[in-house]
Amino acid sequence: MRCKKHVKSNNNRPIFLNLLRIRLPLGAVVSIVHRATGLVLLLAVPVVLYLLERSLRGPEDYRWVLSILETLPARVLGVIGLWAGAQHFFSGVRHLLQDADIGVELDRARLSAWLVWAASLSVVAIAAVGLSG
Amino acid sequence: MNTDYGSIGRGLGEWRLQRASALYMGLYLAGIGVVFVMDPVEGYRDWLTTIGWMPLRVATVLFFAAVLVHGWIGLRSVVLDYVHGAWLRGAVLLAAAILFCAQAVWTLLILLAPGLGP
Repeated sequence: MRCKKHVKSNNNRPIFLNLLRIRLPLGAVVSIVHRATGLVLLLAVPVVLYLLERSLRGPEDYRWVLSILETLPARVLGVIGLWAGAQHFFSGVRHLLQDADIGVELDRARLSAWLVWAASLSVVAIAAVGLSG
Repeated sequence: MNTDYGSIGRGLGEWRLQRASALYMGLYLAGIGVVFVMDPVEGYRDWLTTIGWMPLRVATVLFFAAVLVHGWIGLRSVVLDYVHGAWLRGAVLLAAAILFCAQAVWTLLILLAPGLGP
């Protein structure tokens, strides 16, 4: 099904795909992180569903869920998940704005990319402070 | 050579679905935030009552539907970009589709369970 066979063009073009040696602009990083956080969030869905189901089963299961959420591994995963969610959300908003032709100029796009990072990290920081009481 | 694999015209529909599901998820999360800040849950009974409130139950089912639709569109793009070869791609997408359908059914079973509510 690869279309290469049907394309009678110059297949001797040089290829350089070493991402570690290409200096990506921040917008490109935001874009690939948007994709990666999306995948991470998908992994969280069955976990959330399980915790939801278990918490509704009975009072003891409810307490079990709360106690699990207080363990260190759960907190770490929770912070990662929260960051992934915030990052994905804010870069998504950036996408929507750019769909509407807002912020597509180079300087604006750079600024909004920085804002996406700042907003996501702020959300995580606020949540970490708010929930560590 | 010009076989139609059924992808003609899909782009706009998927683009719209992805945006629509994203908007709904944003609204739901904002709403949920308000609900739980204004009326924090205290204990199992309270949790059952809150979750069992019919409007919230319906909204939550829709939320997970939006997650799965939005996630499917994204995942499919990723698979199409990185997984090549008709058979491998088909197998990966089929496995993912089954998992997504399973999660959809699971969501319904969780939120349609009797015994939720006051």
